[in-house]
Amino acid sequence: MITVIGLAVGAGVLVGLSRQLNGRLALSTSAMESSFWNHIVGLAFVSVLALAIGGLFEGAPMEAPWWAFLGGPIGFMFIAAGSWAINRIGAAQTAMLIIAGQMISSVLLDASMGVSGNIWARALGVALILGGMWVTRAAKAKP
Amino acid sequence: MKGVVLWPEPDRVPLARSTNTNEFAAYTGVAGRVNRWVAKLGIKGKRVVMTDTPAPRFIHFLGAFGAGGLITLMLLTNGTLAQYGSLMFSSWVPHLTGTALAIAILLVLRPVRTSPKRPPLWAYLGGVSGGLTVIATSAAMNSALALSGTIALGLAGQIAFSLFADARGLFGLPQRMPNLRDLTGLGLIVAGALVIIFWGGGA
Repeated sequence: MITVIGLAVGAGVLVGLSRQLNGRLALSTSAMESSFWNHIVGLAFVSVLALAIGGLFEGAPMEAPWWAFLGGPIGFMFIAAGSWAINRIGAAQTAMLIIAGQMISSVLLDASMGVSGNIWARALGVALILGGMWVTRAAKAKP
Repeated sequence: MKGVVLWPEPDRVPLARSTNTNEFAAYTGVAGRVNRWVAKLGIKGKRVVMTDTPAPRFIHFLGAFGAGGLITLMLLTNGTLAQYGSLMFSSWVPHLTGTALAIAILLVLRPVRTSPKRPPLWAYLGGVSGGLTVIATSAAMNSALALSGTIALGLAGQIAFSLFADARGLFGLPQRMPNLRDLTGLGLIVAGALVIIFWGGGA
């Protein structure tokens, strides 16, 4: 169990690490170039891994709907935005706002797709997140 | 750790020194016009101290918040791919299509490098870290932690490491100490995220 917990926490650390490295790259280049390097280095890495492990084209991947292939362009914008923001508002606030955006949008997406769930818990969660954003935002407004 | 240079201090780039505070504003054409307009929106914020980077503005907060919305869309697209193909495929395809778009965008917009100095080589390894994330996440997800536990612990790891990075100015990024209000806001957001993950039914 310790190993698994370590893996899950480690995944989060890796997310932060990736954003910091990309942010550092953007500091010398640009957010868009940083996102380019993130994707091409990542592509090389995943390709090598896929060759080593095999089974890349298992299943029926080509039967997936066309829009499922659009994760890349979205990811490009995501990495560019993260690299851009981290140099201006810091790693912790970038992480915090990305989490806030992810949580609120996922609640909205679930609601629009009619995914069942506890509506009160969702509303409470969104309220807490908005409150947290307001607190930090207010702190920044008064220097 | 004293004496061991784990992360050699890289060249700091004083972004604020340039008159152009919005790096995208240098672009020509429509993109440049849009970005100069975006830059104009942020002018109201008073620049108090000259630091390494421009003062935080609403547009930066909005950018990070919007990026969070992009993750939700990515979970949808990549998760759907994983339903049809292998997990590796669902990570490989977005890297491929993302690279294709990145090349197109770099060719069209030709963003200017903000520093003539070359960035350190390790700064190019963000993609490796991102690739490893997929493996660690999928391994944790297929355990007793399930999806909600994996996400919650991942958030904890991400926030703890980001706070540490800020406090130390890790990797040559601007150093900043979180104050009490920052931590309060952070606590509220984490609490809200946990409520949604564990009681909201699907995150």
